[in-house]
Amino acid sequence: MLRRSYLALLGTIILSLVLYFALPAGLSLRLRSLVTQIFSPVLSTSAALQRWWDASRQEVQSRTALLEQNHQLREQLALQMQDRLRLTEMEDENRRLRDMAGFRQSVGPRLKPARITGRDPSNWWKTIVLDIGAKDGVTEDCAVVTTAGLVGKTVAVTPATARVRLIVDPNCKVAALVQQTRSPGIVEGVFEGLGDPPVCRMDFIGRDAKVLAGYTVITSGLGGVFPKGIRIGTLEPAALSESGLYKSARIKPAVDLNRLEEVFVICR
Amino acid sequence: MTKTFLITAVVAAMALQCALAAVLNVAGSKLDLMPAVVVFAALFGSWNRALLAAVACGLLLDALSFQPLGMSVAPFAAAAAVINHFQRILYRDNIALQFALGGATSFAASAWTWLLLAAGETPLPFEFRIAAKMVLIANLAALGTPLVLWLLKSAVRWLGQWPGDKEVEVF
Repeated sequence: MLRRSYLALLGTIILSLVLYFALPAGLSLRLRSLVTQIFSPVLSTSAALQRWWDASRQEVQSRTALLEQNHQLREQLALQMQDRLRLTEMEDENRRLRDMAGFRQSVGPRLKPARITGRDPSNWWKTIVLDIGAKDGVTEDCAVVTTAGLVGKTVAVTPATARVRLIVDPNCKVAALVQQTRSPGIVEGVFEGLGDPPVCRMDFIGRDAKVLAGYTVITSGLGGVFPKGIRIGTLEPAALSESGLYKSARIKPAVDLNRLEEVFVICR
Repeated sequence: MTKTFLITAVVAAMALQCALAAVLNVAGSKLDLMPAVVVFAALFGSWNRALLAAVACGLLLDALSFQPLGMSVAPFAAAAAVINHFQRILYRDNIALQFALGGATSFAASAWTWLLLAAGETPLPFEFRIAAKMVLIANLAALGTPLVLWLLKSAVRWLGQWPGDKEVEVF
């Protein structure tokens, strides 16, 4: 009896290792999609509960806090209106210049709004689940953004849900460049340690490139997944890599990935 | 306890874990309820039930969390086997013991993840901050274990499935 038990345990461990090392990526993706699809009603319910909890917490605020918030919002609105005027001017100027240079007017990307219905339950991987999927025109490798910047890309799509790998996931890689100096590099997620905020790292920056803390990092458009010019985050001080061949620097993401509620999927 | 009850418990715990993942976040670590279910099956069930719980917990966690499929099965199965082997000499209702077993199972899963990733393209770095996070994850799982065990034991008793055909009440 004991021997049979040990054999069963050994078989289970070997089977799990075979699954880990030898399961084809396509089959693994289909299995995950199936499980996500089965669990999507549960995830939606928990997301709705969370939204209700957040909303009910926000409803109870002191009068002083509300007045202060109102004052801040008025100030922000005034600034935003100034920005909007300036941007409208720049847009017009840009259109004129494009026409003059004979550029073909590019068709704007198709943005699909989506709500987040679930987060990765594990501690090492960073993914979220959206409430739209293949029937809404979402496919794999679509960029996901908010008004603040890049969130990630879709990796597994079911008819009604899409799983997004966040830019802070160690398996997510994005071709990027530093906006001020146009120095190219690759942005990838970093495993979070105890108390670390979610950050990414920009590698392969030329060793002679001038990159300063606070510079903005945007997508470069190389690779075809992420359109060019989406804000990724701001650089922290850069340092030479261990090999000394290139510089790397940590990036504070432009989007607060722990407080995401709604995003846009750029469908192709 | 029946196999249906066990699978239902795994699915319910996973649903709760998914819901809590969005709300509960202690210094970047989330509450892991799967070790508690494995400990429950290993402490109070037969060998087959313990292995079933370990496989179900591991596969479901991997499938829903987008970590490589099969990664969590082996440490859960090994922990279940060890706990089940010593089932008759353990004081199963002791909260401190349940806390320790939940923490140890969770830490085994984190350590196995680190080992498997070390052989891959994106290795988990061996640094103090990562080790500290593993310890925190284990402590969070340990904290949840006595509560989950109490809930599951109450549910089993309420359903009249205690003890099962191949299970013996020790105390």
